[in-house]
Amino acid sequence: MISLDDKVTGLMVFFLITSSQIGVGVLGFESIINKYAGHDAWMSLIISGLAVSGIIYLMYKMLKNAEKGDIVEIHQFTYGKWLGNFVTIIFTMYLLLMATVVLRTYIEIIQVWMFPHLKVWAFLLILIPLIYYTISDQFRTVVGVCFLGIVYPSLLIPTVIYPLRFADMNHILPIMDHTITELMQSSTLAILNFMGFSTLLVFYPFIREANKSQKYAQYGNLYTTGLYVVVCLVSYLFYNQSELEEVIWASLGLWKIIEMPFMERFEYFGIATLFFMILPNAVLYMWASTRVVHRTFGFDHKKTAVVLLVILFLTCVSSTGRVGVNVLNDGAGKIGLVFLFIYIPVLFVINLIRRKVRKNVS
Amino acid sequence: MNKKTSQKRVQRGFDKLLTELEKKDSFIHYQHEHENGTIHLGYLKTAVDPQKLEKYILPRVQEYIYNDLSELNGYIPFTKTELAENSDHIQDKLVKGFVFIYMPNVSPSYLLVPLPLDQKRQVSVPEVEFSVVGPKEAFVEDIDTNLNLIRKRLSIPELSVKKLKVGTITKTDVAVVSIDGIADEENVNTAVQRIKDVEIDQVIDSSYIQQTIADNKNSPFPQLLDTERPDRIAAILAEGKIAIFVDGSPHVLLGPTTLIEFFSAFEDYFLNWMTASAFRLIRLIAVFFSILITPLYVAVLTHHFEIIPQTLLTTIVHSRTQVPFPPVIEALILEFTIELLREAGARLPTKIGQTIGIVGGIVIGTAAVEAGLTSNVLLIIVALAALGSFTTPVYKMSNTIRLIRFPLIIVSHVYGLIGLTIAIAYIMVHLLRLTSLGRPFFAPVFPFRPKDFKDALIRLPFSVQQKRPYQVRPTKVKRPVAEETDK
Repeated sequence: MISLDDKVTGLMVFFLITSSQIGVGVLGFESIINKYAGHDAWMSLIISGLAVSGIIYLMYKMLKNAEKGDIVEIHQFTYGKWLGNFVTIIFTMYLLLMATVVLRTYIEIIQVWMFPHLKVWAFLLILIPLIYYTISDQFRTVVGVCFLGIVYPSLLIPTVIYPLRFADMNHILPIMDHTITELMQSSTLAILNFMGFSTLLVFYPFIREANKSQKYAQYGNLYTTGLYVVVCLVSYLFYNQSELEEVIWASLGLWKIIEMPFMERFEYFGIATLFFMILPNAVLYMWASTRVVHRTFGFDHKKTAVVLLVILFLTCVSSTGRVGVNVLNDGAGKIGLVFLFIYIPVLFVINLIRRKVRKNVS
Repeated sequence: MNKKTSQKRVQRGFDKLLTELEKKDSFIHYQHEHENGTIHLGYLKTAVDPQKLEKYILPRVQEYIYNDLSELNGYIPFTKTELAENSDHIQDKLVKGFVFIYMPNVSPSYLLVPLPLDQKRQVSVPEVEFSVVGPKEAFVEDIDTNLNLIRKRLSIPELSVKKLKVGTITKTDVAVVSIDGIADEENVNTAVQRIKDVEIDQVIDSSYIQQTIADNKNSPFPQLLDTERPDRIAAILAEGKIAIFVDGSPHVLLGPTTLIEFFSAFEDYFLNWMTASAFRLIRLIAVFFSILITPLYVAVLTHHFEIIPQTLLTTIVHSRTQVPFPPVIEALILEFTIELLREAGARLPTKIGQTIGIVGGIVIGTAAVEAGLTSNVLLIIVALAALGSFTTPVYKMSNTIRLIRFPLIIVSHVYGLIGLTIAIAYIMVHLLRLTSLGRPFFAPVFPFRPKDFKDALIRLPFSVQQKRPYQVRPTKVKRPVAEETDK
């Protein structure tokens, strides 16, 4: 049983959801999501946000009815013990994959912008112990990292004012120049930036009065969507669409024009600060996968964490180069899409049927 | 016959006791012929107050008329006297400053009178936490005086003092003080239990307790605040926190505390809230500045000099042209020099210490720049950083702040800004994990308690602070501002 001391208040769900969603994606999603919807792609973000809100609703529906309230139990209940555990292992691998994507992409950014010769393993060598240090203690610590990972980088939000000096309204006009289908297609690309909230399936039992916390989860998603829309609009006002095809990290480009009497090249500072947004991502994924393995097989939490972090280290090191990272991102995006929008609804339906059947039997 | 043998046995016992005591230094043994036979009187000169002995005991023993010891006891104007026969027990008491009176003809027992010599320092002005306004009292080494200083400020029956003895050799008095009905029982119990569990042979100062009952003993951060100000202790007791007094220490511990509390000087409460808030913010900025500025210098100059605007870069490059070392060596040398000066100043008597400060600061600084060993800019940065660390009101915390700079400088050299960020993240996670008496140390930032922010980064007026901080889980949350008026 989880002690009351280790549980966190409902408000923290806001920070958990938001910090799990916002990650490396925010630095460069503008030039990915405009593939189909062009300058209207910011609307695709809203569509994605709404869809994610629906999935959060489904998750809460399922979790409320589960006794211990996490995915391990839902799987065991829905598929029986053996098959359920097997599906849980696949879920763990999904979490590990997402953690790899987050870290590897961030390292890629550091390599491109700051240290071209930075070795992936050298960087991971100081980062992996940090993740271990965070997840080996109480869940409280993980939540604390998520909380500060939202509060502290939010100080950077006002910097979007700087590029607005060079804004050109013509870049986003005319509005609704694309078909709904195109908008939908773009929103499937935008989903990768909303992905992390699947950890809700794991941390749900750590929330006090969890069944009442859905509003905070929805507010969290709203905050994420709002932030993305603002950043996206600012970049689309700043760049024109042909420029966007050239730049990979459009948001970082926005920071480049900030100048202060004691500081130029603001993006260096930005990348460093963004570490505090990347860390909650990685930490939450790794904590969730450790927790899931611990719940399924009853292995020691700390030892499991060590093993999984070693796996994370190996997967990060083995994916090399810009191409490798791209493949990783695209793959993770597709898998995530399937997981959230096909698997979760399917699981929901099977779970519902199972519950009904069991109720009738008894 | 029977009486005679028992008398002989008693006589032998007395002789043995005397020979044992003769071995101790400064044992003094009087004999006085009284009408009921010889009276023996013995004590250790170094443990007994001679004035009390001459004024109260000797006249009564010599001049009063009495038949046995209990009658004599009635004349003696001291409490805690006792009659004892066991010679080990008597020796024990003598060491603690008791005088024995023995009448071999009347009874085999000894009358023990406590006359310990109290060497106390007078209550004086606080030196470590000096404040221009406000009370000018500071704790002394004697625990009873210290408790009395608190009782004077909080003369209420609810003030509870739980006394414990710690240390197998020193058997030091430790008192856990709290206010019943305000302080959380659990906090008090945690503190008492931890002090009971301490396994140590000597407790010389409250820092021994501070270290042995710390939640995380491998943390550079102190997890209990120590203060020498009775006013501060009275204030935190009324807030629902608990205080730990240790005999022989002029510093009293208080907990559960938070990181931010370490940066609040008690003077903040004597100034009006705007001034106090401004000063507190300045102190916090000074701390961040002090921790980050030298590592930033190293990180930026080693890896990312593009960050510096051209005009500023010219200044910095110009000052560094003569310097043969990379920024990290330069920074470490200077930081080390500052630490040397501080350490030398701290070990030497005050007057010489000042001289060393001037010699070190001016002569070495100027010479180092002229010789081209360090740059002017870095000299300014390091000096300011040192200054910033000294603004912390709690001495132990300012030590921590200066210490954690060194790993940051090295990481900045290796991994640049990213390394610095990760190092800060390590400190952040460490602070998130820390607790003080089982309560989160990083509150009210996390766990996020907006209401406790009224007295954290800034200090709002007293009229706004009508609730006690949630951090200490006070039993009564509301401060009874207008409790009696409606009667």
